[in-house]
Amino acid sequence: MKEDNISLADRRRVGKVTLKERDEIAALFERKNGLNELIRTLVENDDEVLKNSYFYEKIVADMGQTTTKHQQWWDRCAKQYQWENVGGYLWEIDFETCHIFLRKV
Amino acid sequence: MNDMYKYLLVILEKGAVPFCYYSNPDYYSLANPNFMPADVLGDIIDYAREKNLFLNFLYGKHQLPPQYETLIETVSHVKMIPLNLSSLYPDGVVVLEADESELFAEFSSDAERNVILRATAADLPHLSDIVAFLRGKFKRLNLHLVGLKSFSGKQLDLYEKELKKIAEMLSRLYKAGEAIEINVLSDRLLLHQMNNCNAGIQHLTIGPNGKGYICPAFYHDNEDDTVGDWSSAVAGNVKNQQLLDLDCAPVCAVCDAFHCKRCVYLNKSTTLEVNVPSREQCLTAHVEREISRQLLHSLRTIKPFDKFIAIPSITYNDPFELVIQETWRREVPAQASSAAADDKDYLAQIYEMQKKILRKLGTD
Amino acid sequence: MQGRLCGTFIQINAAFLEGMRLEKFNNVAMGEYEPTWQSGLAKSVTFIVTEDCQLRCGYCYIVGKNNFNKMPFAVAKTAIDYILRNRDLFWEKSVVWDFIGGEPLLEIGLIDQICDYIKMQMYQMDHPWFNSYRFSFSTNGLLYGDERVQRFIRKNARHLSISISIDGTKQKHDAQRVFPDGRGSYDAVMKNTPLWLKQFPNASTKATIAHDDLPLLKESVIHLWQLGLKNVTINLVNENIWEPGDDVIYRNQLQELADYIIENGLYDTHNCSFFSKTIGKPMDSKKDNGNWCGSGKMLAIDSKGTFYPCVRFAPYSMQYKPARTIGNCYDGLDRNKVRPFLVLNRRMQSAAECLDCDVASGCAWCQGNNYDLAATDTIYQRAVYTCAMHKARVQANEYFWTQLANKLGQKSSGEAGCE
Repeated sequence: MKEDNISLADRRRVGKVTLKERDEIAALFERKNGLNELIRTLVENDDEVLKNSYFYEKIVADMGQTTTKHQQWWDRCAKQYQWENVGGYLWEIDFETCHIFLRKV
Repeated sequence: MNDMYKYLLVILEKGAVPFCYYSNPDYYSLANPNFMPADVLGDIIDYAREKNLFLNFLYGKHQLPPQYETLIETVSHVKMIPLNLSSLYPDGVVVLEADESELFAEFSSDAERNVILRATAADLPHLSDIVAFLRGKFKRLNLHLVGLKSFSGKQLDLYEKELKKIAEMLSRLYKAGEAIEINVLSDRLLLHQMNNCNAGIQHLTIGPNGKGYICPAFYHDNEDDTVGDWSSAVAGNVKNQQLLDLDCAPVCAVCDAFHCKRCVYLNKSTTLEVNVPSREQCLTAHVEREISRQLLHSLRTIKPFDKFIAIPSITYNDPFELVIQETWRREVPAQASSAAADDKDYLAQIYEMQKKILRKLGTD
Repeated sequence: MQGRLCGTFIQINAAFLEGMRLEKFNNVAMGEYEPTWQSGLAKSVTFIVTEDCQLRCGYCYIVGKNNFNKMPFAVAKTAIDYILRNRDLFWEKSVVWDFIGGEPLLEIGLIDQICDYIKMQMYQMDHPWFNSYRFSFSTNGLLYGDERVQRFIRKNARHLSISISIDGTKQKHDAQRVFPDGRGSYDAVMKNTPLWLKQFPNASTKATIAHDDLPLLKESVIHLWQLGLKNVTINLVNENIWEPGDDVIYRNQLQELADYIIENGLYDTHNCSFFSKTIGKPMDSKKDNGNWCGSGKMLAIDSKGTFYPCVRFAPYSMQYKPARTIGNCYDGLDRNKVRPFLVLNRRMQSAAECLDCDVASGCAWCQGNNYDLAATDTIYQRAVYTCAMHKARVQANEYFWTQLANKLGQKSSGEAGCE
């Protein structure tokens, strides 16, 4: 079962990327999630020393760069492959199949 | 009886001479010898005569009671003896400890004798000198490294250096027509299939307690590690005996270091499996193999070595790598290709990455 | 009919099965192996955080449950540092940090601390695993709704894989998964299940079948589907607990389940691990020689920092043999002790009967269980107590795929299909 139970109108396949491209966005996606959760860890642990440290600043900067690269990947691939684009919909990727879907927000 | 046994090893006393890779802490003990009971010895000898089995008797430093001597002489046998008994039993196979080399001067010359030399890591710096000193006192020398499982990379390098010196000596002697044998170098020149110890397959050991063992090492390591009463063991009741066979040894089955003894005791004590050797054992065997290869190459123009099958040059020193690479070649592409069978570069990258890291895994 | 039953043995036309399955059923969800994260190539590191559990499940292989062996954080830290610093030994692209017990959620505070440390260390060391890791749990579910657990889930939501063990219907679940006083745990687990499924909609469960609950197999799988778990992983107990006649009950239950699946058209949307598209074929001793079990490629760590090739080799789950260690977090991995696991193959641990078996594919084993039951201290001897059960499963699969082929033939042609 590779897809959720969503009606076809809400989600439509619009393209496919190569394995290398998939790996690139998967790594960025994972890194974004990891950084998010690392920041959350520092905040929740309420470690004032760590939160004010260079280490924390580094994580925040890293988050910014990763988010930028993440967005750049989508922009680049969308331009290259000319995927269908509809207002009120977002692109998403199935990491197993490398397919790109248009999903209703 | 299990017809595949060709001979039995009989340990006559607890302090019997260790003649192979293992140690016997009781060898130097001054306590009572605790000889095997005479009736048990008698039963074993009767059995051997009936089944036409050869017997290897392992002696300790103590002289046997006359009754034992008489019994032993009634059956085909060979005596494995410590140095102090060499004059008493001139036909015996003498086991020399390299750290007792100061006693070797008293060891008589006999160019037809089989001799065993055991060496530890501490003896490595002088190994070639010791072997050279023993020239004229043996026709065949079996060299065994003791404590191999804890040899470091540096000690292995030193062993390699000393072996090369011994190989040079052998080369000179062969060119002069002197045909002595040193197991770790000369055996591989002639072999084209495995010539292993085959403990538990071709022979079994009987301890002084009357119990059966795969080999003397298992007895001396732990008396409780028995395969049962000796009479039951020789009848073929050894559990999982197939694991002692080359066919059930995944690493050894693909190896061509044919001279290696494939010591199942060392296997068991390092990897916990009788059919899988440690990395140190494989590296040592491949050092010996490579020097044998170089030795044979240096003798290519001389009879009879010009007729010997060349030992091929190889790029690995541990056949474990061959097995693992084959496994990865079979499994990794299959798993990765579920995503896209058309991306051959991706699959090749995974496989190459594993090979590089596999090579790095081998470094200490 | 292409197969006939002879006692507990089967003669099946392998070529028929091969052709039948591979072509007709490409779009059928049933029998598909659920894709594992990173195609199963991630390194699995298992922390045995506690040997305590609130339950005393009848089939549990952990024979030595206790409440005194808990992993100190210092031990976990030393192990993590060792693993992260030795990239040569732990070279995989991804990692699954797995937490097990007993019941792991009993130590959620410790787990939280360990996970925070792992994340920090991976990031500070710029370790590749920071971009590819998961935290994985297999839990009895009793503490799932606890606020400390929920806080942990919120903090690590995108990296979590949590499976709650539900055995099926209340009757089946409560037959085995009991508190020390004998009460069943189904109701207590069900309180947390809706929250779990809301947070992890694609979650799967691990259910176990033992001798006593075989007659409840069909309704248990259906019940799990009705709970919303479309992908049910359900396994037989590996240990020697099966009795004569169990294979017949098992086969009949699976065939009834097969009828239910086909009548209700569930084959397109639901999955149950008992049905497989690749089960029941002969296996070539050279080409199909891989080991079934991944022990040796994973790493389990106990409260003393000792390394094991799998949690099943730890002292608390060994009934007859000594534990099998492969090093510790202070001295490191003993590569020689790992070697036998990495070169273990199907041929060298299987009896001739297994190698020649006409229906060998899909026959599973547990290496730890094999070792515990072997005649000597070896992993190279396969326990075969589930042989009759495997063959019964193959029979049921033959029935299912034949019936499904008939049904799909009817759907496409409008005529009664037959093979």
